[in-house]
Amino acid sequence: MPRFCIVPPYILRAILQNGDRSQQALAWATLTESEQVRGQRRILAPIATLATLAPGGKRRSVYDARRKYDLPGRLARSEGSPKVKDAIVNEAYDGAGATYDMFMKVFARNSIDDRGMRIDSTVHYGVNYDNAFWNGQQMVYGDGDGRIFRPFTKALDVIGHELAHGVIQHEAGLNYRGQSGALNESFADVFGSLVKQYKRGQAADQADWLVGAELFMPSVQAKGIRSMKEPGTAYDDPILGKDPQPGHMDDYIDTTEDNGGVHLNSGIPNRAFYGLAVRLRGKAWEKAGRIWYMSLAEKLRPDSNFRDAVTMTVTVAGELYGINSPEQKAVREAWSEVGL
Amino acid sequence: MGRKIHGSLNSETLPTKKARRLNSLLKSSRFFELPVRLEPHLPAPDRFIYRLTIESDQGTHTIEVSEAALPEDLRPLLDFITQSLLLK
Repeated sequence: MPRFCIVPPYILRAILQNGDRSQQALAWATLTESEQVRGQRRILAPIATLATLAPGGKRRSVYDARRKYDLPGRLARSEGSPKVKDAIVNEAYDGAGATYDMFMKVFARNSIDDRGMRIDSTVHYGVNYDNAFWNGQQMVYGDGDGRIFRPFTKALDVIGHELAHGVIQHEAGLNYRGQSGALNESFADVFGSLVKQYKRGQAADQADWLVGAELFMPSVQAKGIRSMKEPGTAYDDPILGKDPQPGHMDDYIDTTEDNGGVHLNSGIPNRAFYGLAVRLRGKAWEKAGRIWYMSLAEKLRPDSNFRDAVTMTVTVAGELYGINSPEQKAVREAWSEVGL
Repeated sequence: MGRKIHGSLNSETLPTKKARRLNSLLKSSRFFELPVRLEPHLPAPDRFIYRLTIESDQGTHTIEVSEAALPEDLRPLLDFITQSLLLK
C-alpha cells in the first residue's frame, strides 16, 4: 500500500531522537517507506539506530579458555560487571567496547551484524598461542609465547581487526581467498586502525598506521605486524624475517600460500587507504573511513577484486561528496598511487 | 594474523624422552593416513595454516591443514612441535 509522506524529514528525525518508542517506530517506518530515502539505508543509519537499538546497546562477554582449545570457555566477565583481577580479560572487554563504540558513533552500526549481536571474546586460548582470530561467531586471543609475542589483547587495533572480520562477514562477505581475501584483510586492518585512532583522538597525520605495534616483546626488531603507510617495513628480525608485504601492484605476490596471499597483498589496498586519509586530512574515520564503510556495506560483493574496490570507492565518494569533488579525486589519486 | 614461521625437528637429535613422545604422537594422530589437504567448510580469517612434512622409515608425507579443520588427534602433535621449536 502506498504511503505518502507529509511530515518533513527533519521533523521525523526529531521524533526519532525525542519521541517515545511507538512514535519512533512510526517515524522510522515513514522515513524508510518514502521514495526519497529508498535505497539509502546507510545514509539514514545514524537516525535509524536511535529507534532500533536494543535496550542496553553493547553486550560483551569475555570467556577464559584456561589454556585449552575449547570455545567459548568459562565466563570471566560480562556486560556491566566490574573489572576483574585478570588484566587480559579486562583488555578484551575494553577493546570490544572501544570497537563497538567506534562503529556505533561513527557509522551508526549496532554491533557486528548491525542488529545488536552479542560480542563474545575468549582469552587465554591454547598454550603460548601466537595468534588472534575471528571464528565466524566470536573473537579468540592467544597469550603469545612470551619470547616474540605478548598477549594479543595488548593491541587495540588487533581487537578491532578481528571484530571487523565479523562486520565484513555480515556485509560484503568478501571471499577469503585471492584478491577478495586481501580486501577482506585490508578492510579489517582499516577498521582496526580506525578504532585505535578514534580512541586516541588522532588525526591521520598523527597516527602511526601500524597494526599490532604493542604485540612484540622488546627484544624483537619490529614496529608492528603490518605497516599501512609503508607496507614491507613493519619488521626485519632474525626470527621473524623481513616483512614481505607489497605496497604497489608492481610487486603483487602471486602465491597459493596464505589463501592466495591474503595477508600479503592486503598491503596494496592498505596503502591506498592511508594515502586517501592523509590527502583528506583531519580524522581518518570522518571521510576516508565513511567512504570505505559505505563501499563495504553497500557496494562490494563476495567476489569483488581490487579493481571493483577502486570502482566502488570512487562511486561512493561521488555519492557522498559529489562527482569530481576533492574527496572523489583523492580516492582516485590514492588508488593510482598503488598502481590501480 | 598473517605471519609465516618455518622450523624443523630431528627426532634423532632430540632427547630420548622427547623422541619417544614424538613417535607416540605421530601414531595417535594417524599422521600418515591423513589427506594432503584439510580445509574448513566456512571462511576462517586469520587462522593458522599448517604445512607439516614427516620423513620416516614409512616414507614421506606432507599435509596442509587449516587450524579450523584440525582433526582432534592432530592438535597434540602440532602443540608438541610448536613448543619444541619455541624452546630451540
